[in-house]
Amino acid sequence: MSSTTEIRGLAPRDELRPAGEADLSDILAKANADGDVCYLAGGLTKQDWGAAPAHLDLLVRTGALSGCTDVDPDNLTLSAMAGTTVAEARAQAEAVGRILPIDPGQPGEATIGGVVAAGDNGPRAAGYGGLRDVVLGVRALLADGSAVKFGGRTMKNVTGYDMTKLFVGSFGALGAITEVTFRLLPRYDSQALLILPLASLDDAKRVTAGVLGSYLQPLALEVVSADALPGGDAAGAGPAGAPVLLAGFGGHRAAVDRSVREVTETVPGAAPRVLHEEEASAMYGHLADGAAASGGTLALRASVPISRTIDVLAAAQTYAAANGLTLGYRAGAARGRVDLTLRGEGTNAAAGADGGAARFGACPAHLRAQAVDMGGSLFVTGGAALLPEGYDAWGDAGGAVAIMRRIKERFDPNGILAPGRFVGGI
Amino acid sequence: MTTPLGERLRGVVGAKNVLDRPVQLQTYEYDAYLERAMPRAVVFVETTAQVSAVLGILAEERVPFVPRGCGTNLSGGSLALDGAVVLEMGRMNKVLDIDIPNQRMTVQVGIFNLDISTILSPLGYYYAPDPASQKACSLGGNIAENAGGPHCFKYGVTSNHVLGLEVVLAGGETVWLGGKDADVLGLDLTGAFVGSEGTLGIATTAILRILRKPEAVKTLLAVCDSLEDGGNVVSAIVAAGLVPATLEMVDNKTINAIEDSMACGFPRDAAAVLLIELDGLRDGMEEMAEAITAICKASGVREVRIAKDEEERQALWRGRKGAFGALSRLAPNYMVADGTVPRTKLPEALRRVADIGRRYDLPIASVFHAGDGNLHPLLLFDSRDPADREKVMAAGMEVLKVCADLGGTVSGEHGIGIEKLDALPLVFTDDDLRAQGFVKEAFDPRGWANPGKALRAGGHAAGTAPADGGAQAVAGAPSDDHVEVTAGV
Ligand SMILES: Cc1cc2nc3c(=O)[nH]c(=O)nc-3n(C[C@H](O)[C@H](O)[C@H](O)COP(=O)(O)OP(=O)(O)OC[C@H]3O[C@@H](n4cnc5c(N)ncnc54)[C@H](O)[C@@H]3O)c2cc1C
Repeated sequence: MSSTTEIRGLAPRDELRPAGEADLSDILAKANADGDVCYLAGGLTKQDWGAAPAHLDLLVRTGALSGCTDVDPDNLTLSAMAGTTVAEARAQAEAVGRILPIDPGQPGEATIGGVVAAGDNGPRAAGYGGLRDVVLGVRALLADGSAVKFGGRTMKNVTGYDMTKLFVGSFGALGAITEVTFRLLPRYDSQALLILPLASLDDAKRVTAGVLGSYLQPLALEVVSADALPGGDAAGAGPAGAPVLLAGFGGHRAAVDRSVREVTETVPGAAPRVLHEEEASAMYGHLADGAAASGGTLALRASVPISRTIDVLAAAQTYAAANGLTLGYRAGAARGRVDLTLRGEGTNAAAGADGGAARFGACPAHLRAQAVDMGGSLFVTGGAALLPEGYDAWGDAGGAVAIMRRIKERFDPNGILAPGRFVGGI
Repeated sequence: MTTPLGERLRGVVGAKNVLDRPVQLQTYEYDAYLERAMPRAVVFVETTAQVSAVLGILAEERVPFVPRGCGTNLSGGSLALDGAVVLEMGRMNKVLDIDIPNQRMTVQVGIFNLDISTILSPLGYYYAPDPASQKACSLGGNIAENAGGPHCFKYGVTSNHVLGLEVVLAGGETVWLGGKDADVLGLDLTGAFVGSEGTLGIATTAILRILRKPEAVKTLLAVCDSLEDGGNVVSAIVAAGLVPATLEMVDNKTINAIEDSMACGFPRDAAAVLLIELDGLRDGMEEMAEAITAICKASGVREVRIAKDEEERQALWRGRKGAFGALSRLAPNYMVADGTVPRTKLPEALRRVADIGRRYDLPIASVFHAGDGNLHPLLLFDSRDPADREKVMAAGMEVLKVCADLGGTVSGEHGIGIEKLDALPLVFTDDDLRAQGFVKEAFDPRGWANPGKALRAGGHAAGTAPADGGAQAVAGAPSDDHVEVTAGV
């Protein structure tokens, strides 16, 4: 038997690569009958997100379910099989002069199915909308192998419950997504990405609040630590540890120019850099990817009401300073998405006797409590090995979790779709 | 007559806030669809605690319930089947919080849609979903139907703007779904609740995304010599990569009905007009308007007019939004077929709908969200004539079938209600419907919430009656001419 890929330290009994939908349906039906736990995976880029499955029998790779099944530039829709990489689907949209309005990290490996299941919204979600807004339809296989479809290729659809929303961000808990239909956007007449070093997080708060309260409609409004930028740009950043603002705009050239000018003017004396067109796209790619994760890094993602975005960074900075950790961050100030990385200085922090537990162990709960106070949430996206056994990867979804559990029980009565992986242990 | 149930309910909301005498209940017998059903009682609720207490009592008494906003829905969604009790939500209309820095508003759902933007306007903000019925429909009804509107072409429908909901479940439990932040933790239950037509529970409070009012707005009226030209313009604008805020179409019959009732400045001899609005930054808007004008001309549009001031612009919108009402001059009743097609199929869909009208010898007026491919052919008829009524039902179903056949769907924004239950198999398999049943069971295992709507309980094959004799509770053809389909508008 061929060797299998481990998922969070769990070795599956078998790794399967269904050739197509019918094959996948058979696999699920059999697993459902036998009570074998399946872990559906595309590019495996999100396996560190959230909780590990409680148990694992079969790793099921969706890579062969690949390709765009429909590209309709005039209707502004694109449908792609779940195993299609984001890069490929994006290229297909671009080939017909359209934008696929999703912006996850690692587009070369991440698959459409995985990105939609993980609800990974990147920097440009500020302008594109989130996945819940741009996914028009989903086809999926339920735990018993039966095929279902929800939504479709129309912009508006109230026929039946909005099951599409339920599948976006469901982490595979309800079924195996096989195909997704997205709305496309027309290509922008012009686009620009302004890079502006700032003096402090206070400054970041002031500038982002100004943009959010203005007429401007940013495509992205990221506040990042200098290490989130490619080498050359980091050099241009302000004082050590100071944030950098990236404000992106797309649309009519006159509107884009004015937007860049207006934001620049809010930071007198700064040294702005403006990237255009392909250069800007490349920078977005870099931003979405984040710094390459290394062994000793704890990674967290928070979601908060937009005005609190920078407050999360401040809280993280305080924690990092008090615990001798180095903080990296990428924060979408127009969406309230915050990605944090914390690493031990120089050495591999995990190796320290109980150093890891002391410095990292309390971090998710500590920062989560603050995010929750701000009206948001926080989950772990990497570095589980640094955390004590039984750590809480997701946090508490409140009273709604009982409904989520009941939904899970009905969709997956035998618990074969990676139980334990998602919020509330579902 | 006071029933024990009535007494218990009065204990919660006060004596004046429960109606249970037949004469009082007549107002609540119908909505903007064509059927009627007599509720067992109507309860006016004012707080979430009251809603919770009422649902607790109803569960104990094993009585189903129907939340009701303003009764303007077009699919029978707020009819009380199975002897259900109606919870009238209109008094829960308070604004709880306007949070400009977070671009959110927390508001009770009984509020009129239009009031939301009126309240926000002095602050420079608005709420984007703007159903044509916005003066007369509630946010709760919008949430339940996932309502759309002209500006949804650019900004999306209700579900794109509702981020959190306080919901009372059957039995009385109160739970918050979603919140103020954009990326919810766990399953997107807010997303699943929006569009569930009151069948999952009662929404009491909502957290809305609010938007900064655009700096500049420009409104164009494209005057077309054929409906198909209009359809082609829509396709061409979308294909050219332009994203106006609205792309609304009104046909000749409707134009004349509008002009007869309110004189808004639509040219009476046009086969159709397209209402195209641009919004955003002032910079570049002039050029975009020119580009759209050029596309219109190239697609054979006779003339493009630009609203010269806010007054002219408001007049055009008054006409568009008053269109359904104006059409009631032409016939006692209308039935709106709410099918939606991929935008590229719009011209073909319009052609086939016109064929259906000819074949059934039914006058059809069209006024619709062209940019979204959301048709609204209004089949004009007289519900007092049983033959006419039957004809309309059959023709309406054919329109929906055309939309499904063209790769579209049977409802874009008006909901399934009782009206389109038989149309569900046009787009869904039994497995698709079974999976939707899972959601219903998870929220409302006993089936107390708005029974007989949106989804058939226990078996979904076409023609299956709603569980518990729901079909018999729906009055057949109304006995008098009281069905006023433009009620509340
Ligand atoms: C002239 C006219 C024009 C229209 N134009 C449009 C349009 O442009 N776009 C559009 O989308 N629709 C349109 N409609 C349809 C209708 O106005 C919408 O469906 C509206 O959302 C219904 O709101 P309502 O308050 O009247 O709800 P109701 O008709 O009272 O109820 C609708 C449904 O919502 C449920 N419900 C009500 N309140 C709650 C609650 N608090 N919690 C849970 N469920 C609840 C009810 O049970 C019912 O199933 C139009 C209707 C008319 C008559």
